[in-house]
Amino acid sequence: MDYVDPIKNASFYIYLSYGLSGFLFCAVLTWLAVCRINILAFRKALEK
Amino acid sequence: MRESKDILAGLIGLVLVFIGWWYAFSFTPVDAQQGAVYRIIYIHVPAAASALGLCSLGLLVTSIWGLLKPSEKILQASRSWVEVGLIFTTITLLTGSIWGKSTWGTWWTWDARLTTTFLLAILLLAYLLLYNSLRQGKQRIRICSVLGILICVDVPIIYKSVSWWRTLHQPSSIIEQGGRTMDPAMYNALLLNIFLIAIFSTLLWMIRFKNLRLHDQMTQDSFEGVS
Repeated sequence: MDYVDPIKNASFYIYLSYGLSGFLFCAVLTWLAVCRINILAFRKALEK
Repeated sequence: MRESKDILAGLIGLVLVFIGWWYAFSFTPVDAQQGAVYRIIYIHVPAAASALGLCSLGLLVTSIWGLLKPSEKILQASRSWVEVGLIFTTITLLTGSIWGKSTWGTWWTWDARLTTTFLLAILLLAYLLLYNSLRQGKQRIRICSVLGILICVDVPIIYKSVSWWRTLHQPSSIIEQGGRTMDPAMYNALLLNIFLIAIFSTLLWMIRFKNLRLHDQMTQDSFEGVS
Protein backbone atom coordinates (compact mmCIF):
# COMPACT_ATOMS: atom_id res chain seq x y z
CA MET A 1 0.00 0.00 0.00
CA ASP A 2 1.29 3.49 -0.85
CA TYR A 3 2.25 5.83 2.00
CA VAL A 4 -0.39 8.50 2.64
CA ASP A 5 0.80 11.53 4.62
CA PRO A 6 -1.54 12.42 7.50
CA ILE A 7 -1.12 16.17 6.83
CA LYS A 8 -2.66 17.53 3.64
CA ASN A 9 -0.21 19.64 1.58
CA ALA A 10 2.69 18.68 3.87
CA SER A 11 5.28 19.37 1.17
CA PHE A 12 3.90 22.92 0.70
CA TYR A 13 4.48 23.72 4.38
CA ILE A 14 7.96 22.16 4.32
CA TYR A 15 9.03 24.04 1.17
CA LEU A 16 7.55 27.27 2.54
CA SER A 17 9.55 26.94 5.79
CA TYR A 18 12.85 26.05 4.17
CA GLY A 19 12.29 28.41 1.24
CA LEU A 20 11.69 31.40 3.50
CA SER A 21 14.61 30.53 5.79
CA GLY A 22 17.00 29.89 2.89
CA PHE A 23 15.93 33.13 1.22
CA LEU A 24 16.43 35.09 4.43
CA PHE A 25 19.89 33.59 4.98
CA CYS A 26 20.95 34.40 1.41
CA ALA A 27 19.50 37.92 1.65
CA VAL A 28 21.30 38.65 4.95
CA LEU A 29 24.62 37.34 3.69
CA THR A 30 24.30 39.32 0.45
CA TRP A 31 23.43 42.48 2.40
CA LEU A 32 26.47 42.00 4.67
CA ALA A 33 28.72 41.45 1.63
CA VAL A 34 27.35 44.55 -0.14
CA CYS A 35 27.89 46.63 3.03
CA ARG A 36 31.48 45.38 3.24
CA ILE A 37 32.15 46.19 -0.43
CA ASN A 38 30.73 49.70 0.06
CA ILE A 39 32.76 50.35 3.22
CA LEU A 40 35.99 49.14 1.61
CA ALA A 41 35.35 51.17 -1.56
CA PHE A 42 34.63 54.30 0.49
CA ARG A 43 37.76 53.79 2.57
CA LYS A 44 39.83 53.40 -0.57
CA ALA A 45 38.36 56.64 -1.91
CA LEU A 46 39.24 58.41 1.38
CA GLU A 47 42.82 57.21 1.19
CA LYS A 48 43.28 58.80 -2.26
CA MET B 1 40.58 40.04 -0.38
CA ARG B 2 42.24 39.88 3.05
CA GLU B 3 39.42 42.04 4.45
CA SER B 4 36.71 39.75 3.06
CA LYS B 5 37.82 36.32 4.23
CA ASP B 6 34.97 36.22 6.75
CA ILE B 7 32.39 36.76 3.98
CA LEU B 8 33.78 33.67 2.23
CA ALA B 9 33.58 31.79 5.55
CA GLY B 10 29.94 32.90 5.85
CA LEU B 11 29.24 31.53 2.36
CA ILE B 12 30.82 28.20 3.33
CA GLY B 13 28.70 28.26 6.52
CA LEU B 14 25.56 28.75 4.42
CA VAL B 15 26.51 25.83 2.15
CA LEU B 16 27.03 23.69 5.29
CA VAL B 17 23.53 24.65 6.50
CA PHE B 18 22.10 23.52 3.15
CA ILE B 19 24.05 20.24 3.43
CA GLY B 20 22.57 19.77 6.93
CA TRP B 21 19.08 20.23 5.51
CA TRP B 22 19.80 17.76 2.71
CA TYR B 23 21.03 15.23 5.29
CA ALA B 24 17.90 15.69 7.40
CA PHE B 25 15.66 15.22 4.37
CA SER B 26 17.55 12.19 3.06
CA PHE B 27 18.38 10.14 6.13
CA THR B 28 15.51 10.56 8.59
CA PRO B 29 12.24 8.63 8.69
CA VAL B 30 8.82 10.31 8.63
CA ASP B 31 7.02 10.81 11.94
CA ALA B 32 4.35 8.24 12.86
CA GLN B 33 1.77 10.91 13.76
CA GLN B 34 2.76 14.05 11.84
CA GLY B 35 4.12 12.46 8.69
CA ALA B 36 6.67 14.48 6.69
CA VAL B 37 5.68 17.91 8.00
CA TYR B 38 7.59 17.29 11.25
CA ARG B 39 10.76 17.95 9.16
CA ILE B 40 10.21 21.66 9.84
CA ILE B 41 11.88 20.75 13.15
CA TYR B 42 15.30 20.79 11.40
CA ILE B 43 15.06 24.54 10.85
CA HIS B 44 12.66 25.57 13.63
CA VAL B 45 14.57 24.08 16.58
CA PRO B 46 18.11 25.01 15.39
CA ALA B 47 16.95 28.60 14.76
CA ALA B 48 15.37 28.73 18.23
CA ALA B 49 18.49 27.19 19.81
CA SER B 50 20.64 29.79 18.11
CA ALA B 51 18.41 32.73 19.09
CA LEU B 52 17.73 31.61 22.66
CA GLY B 53 21.07 29.95 23.35
CA LEU B 54 23.99 31.35 21.43
CA CYS B 55 22.76 34.89 20.65
CA SER B 56 21.24 35.44 24.10
CA LEU B 57 24.40 34.21 25.79
CA GLY B 58 26.48 36.48 23.54
CA LEU B 59 24.18 39.40 24.35
CA LEU B 60 24.31 38.68 28.09
CA VAL B 61 28.11 38.43 28.20
CA THR B 62 28.68 41.56 26.10
CA SER B 63 26.02 43.53 28.04
CA ILE B 64 27.60 42.69 31.42
CA TRP B 65 31.00 43.50 29.94
CA GLY B 66 29.59 46.77 28.60
CA LEU B 67 28.39 47.73 32.08
CA LEU B 68 31.69 46.85 33.73
CA LYS B 69 34.02 48.27 31.07
CA PRO B 70 32.04 50.56 28.76
CA SER B 71 33.42 50.83 25.24
CA GLU B 72 31.99 51.37 21.75
CA LYS B 73 33.59 48.14 20.60
CA ILE B 74 31.75 46.02 23.17
CA LEU B 75 28.48 47.84 22.40
CA GLN B 76 28.91 46.98 18.73
CA ALA B 77 29.50 43.35 19.70
CA SER B 78 26.21 43.47 21.68
CA ARG B 79 24.38 45.09 18.79
CA SER B 80 25.65 42.42 16.40
CA TRP B 81 24.32 39.67 18.68
CA VAL B 82 20.96 41.45 18.84
CA GLU B 83 20.75 41.62 15.05
CA VAL B 84 21.70 37.97 14.54
CA GLY B 85 19.32 37.03 17.37
CA LEU B 86 16.51 38.95 15.69
CA ILE B 87 17.06 37.08 12.40
CA PHE B 88 16.87 33.72 14.13
CA THR B 89 13.92 34.70 16.34
CA THR B 90 12.07 35.78 13.17
CA ILE B 91 12.85 32.43 11.52
CA THR B 92 11.70 30.61 14.68
CA LEU B 93 8.40 32.52 14.64
CA LEU B 94 7.85 32.09 10.88
CA THR B 95 8.61 28.36 10.75
CA GLY B 96 6.71 27.79 14.00
CA SER B 97 3.72 29.56 12.53
CA ILE B 98 3.86 27.41 9.36
CA TRP B 99 4.21 24.26 11.46
CA GLY B 100 1.30 25.42 13.64
CA LYS B 101 -0.91 25.93 10.59
CA SER B 102 -0.24 22.41 9.37
CA THR B 103 -0.67 20.62 12.70
CA TRP B 104 -2.86 22.87 14.90
CA GLY B 105 -4.87 24.38 12.05
CA THR B 106 -3.96 27.98 12.87
CA TRP B 107 -1.09 30.30 11.89
CA TRP B 108 -1.01 31.98 15.30
CA THR B 109 -2.42 31.67 18.80
CA TRP B 110 -1.57 33.66 21.94
CA ASP B 111 -0.04 30.60 23.56
CA ALA B 112 2.58 31.13 26.32
CA ARG B 113 5.56 29.86 24.25
CA LEU B 114 4.55 31.84 21.17
CA THR B 115 3.77 35.02 23.09
CA THR B 116 7.05 35.02 25.04
CA THR B 117 9.02 34.37 21.83
CA PHE B 118 7.15 37.20 20.11
CA LEU B 119 8.02 39.40 23.09
CA LEU B 120 11.69 38.52 22.57
CA ALA B 121 11.49 39.70 18.94
CA ILE B 122 9.85 42.97 20.06
CA LEU B 123 12.51 43.51 22.76
CA LEU B 124 15.32 42.90 20.26
CA LEU B 125 13.71 45.44 17.91
CA ALA B 126 13.39 47.86 20.84
CA TYR B 127 17.12 47.46 21.53
CA LEU B 128 17.97 48.45 17.95
CA LEU B 129 15.57 51.42 18.10
CA LEU B 130 17.13 52.55 21.36
CA TYR B 131 20.66 52.10 20.01
CA ASN B 132 19.88 54.24 16.97
CA SER B 133 17.99 56.92 18.89
CA LEU B 134 20.70 57.66 21.47
CA ARG B 135 23.83 59.72 20.96
CA GLN B 136 27.15 57.90 20.93
CA GLY B 137 28.76 57.85 24.38
CA LYS B 138 28.95 56.13 27.75
CA GLN B 139 25.29 56.74 28.54
CA ARG B 140 24.20 54.85 25.41
CA ILE B 141 26.49 51.96 26.32
CA ARG B 142 25.03 51.77 29.84
CA ILE B 143 21.37 52.03 28.76
CA CYS B 144 21.80 49.46 25.96
CA SER B 145 23.68 47.10 28.30
CA VAL B 146 20.88 47.27 30.88
CA LEU B 147 18.28 46.55 28.17
CA GLY B 148 20.47 43.71 26.87
CA ILE B 149 20.47 42.07 30.31
CA LEU B 150 16.70 42.59 30.65
CA ILE B 151 16.14 40.93 27.26
CA CYS B 152 18.05 37.87 28.48
CA VAL B 153 15.59 37.53 31.40
CA ASP B 154 12.93 36.57 28.82
CA VAL B 155 14.96 33.54 27.66
CA PRO B 156 14.44 31.23 30.68
CA ILE B 157 10.77 32.29 30.70
CA ILE B 158 10.45 31.17 27.05
CA TYR B 159 12.19 27.90 27.85
CA LYS B 160 10.05 27.10 30.89
CA SER B 161 6.79 28.47 29.44
CA VAL B 162 5.69 25.02 28.25
CA SER B 163 5.93 23.59 31.75
CA TRP B 164 4.74 26.65 33.72
CA TRP B 165 1.57 27.21 31.68
CA ARG B 166 -0.85 24.96 29.82
CA THR B 167 0.08 25.50 26.18
CA LEU B 168 -0.64 24.20 22.69
CA HIS B 169 3.10 23.99 22.10
CA GLN B 170 4.60 20.59 22.81
CA PRO B 171 6.75 20.16 25.94
CA SER B 172 10.57 19.79 25.75
CA SER B 173 11.53 16.65 23.86
CA ILE B 174 15.30 17.11 23.52
CA ILE B 175 16.41 17.90 27.06
CA GLU B 176 13.98 16.24 29.45
CA GLN B 177 13.88 14.00 32.50
CA GLY B 178 13.39 10.29 31.87
CA GLY B 179 15.19 10.17 28.53
CA ARG B 180 14.55 11.36 25.00
CA THR B 181 11.39 10.55 23.11
CA MET B 182 12.95 11.03 19.67
CA ASP B 183 14.13 8.38 17.25
CA PRO B 184 18.00 8.32 17.21
CA ALA B 185 18.13 9.07 13.46
CA MET B 186 15.93 12.13 13.93
CA TYR B 187 17.86 13.19 17.03
CA ASN B 188 21.27 12.97 15.31
CA ALA B 189 20.04 14.96 12.31
CA LEU B 190 18.62 17.57 14.67
CA LEU B 191 21.89 17.85 16.60
CA LEU B 192 23.83 18.20 13.34
CA ASN B 193 21.55 21.02 12.20
CA ILE B 194 21.72 22.78 15.57
CA PHE B 195 25.52 22.65 15.33
CA LEU B 196 25.62 23.93 11.72
CA ILE B 197 23.17 26.77 12.38
CA ALA B 198 25.24 27.73 15.46
CA ILE B 199 28.36 27.95 13.26
CA PHE B 200 26.46 30.01 10.67
CA SER B 201 25.12 32.37 13.38
CA THR B 202 28.63 32.90 14.74
CA LEU B 203 29.91 33.67 11.24
CA LEU B 204 27.05 36.14 10.64
CA TRP B 205 27.91 37.80 13.96
CA MET B 206 31.60 38.02 13.02
CA ILE B 207 30.84 39.60 9.64
CA ARG B 208 28.37 42.10 11.10
CA PHE B 209 30.71 43.03 13.94
CA LYS B 210 33.59 43.60 11.52
CA ASN B 211 31.33 45.69 9.28
CA LEU B 212 30.38 47.90 12.24
CA ARG B 213 34.04 48.24 13.29
CA LEU B 214 35.16 49.13 9.77
CA HIS B 215 32.30 51.62 9.43
CA ASP B 216 33.24 53.25 12.73
CA GLN B 217 36.90 53.44 11.74
CA MET B 218 35.98 54.92 8.36
CA THR B 219 33.72 57.57 9.97
CA GLN B 220 36.56 58.59 12.32
CA ASP B 221 39.02 58.76 9.39
CA SER B 222 36.66 60.92 7.33
CA PHE B 223 36.14 63.32 10.28
CA GLU B 224 39.91 63.57 10.77
CA GLY B 225 40.18 64.35 7.05
CA VAL B 226 37.62 67.18 7.38
CA SER B 227 39.16 68.70 10.54
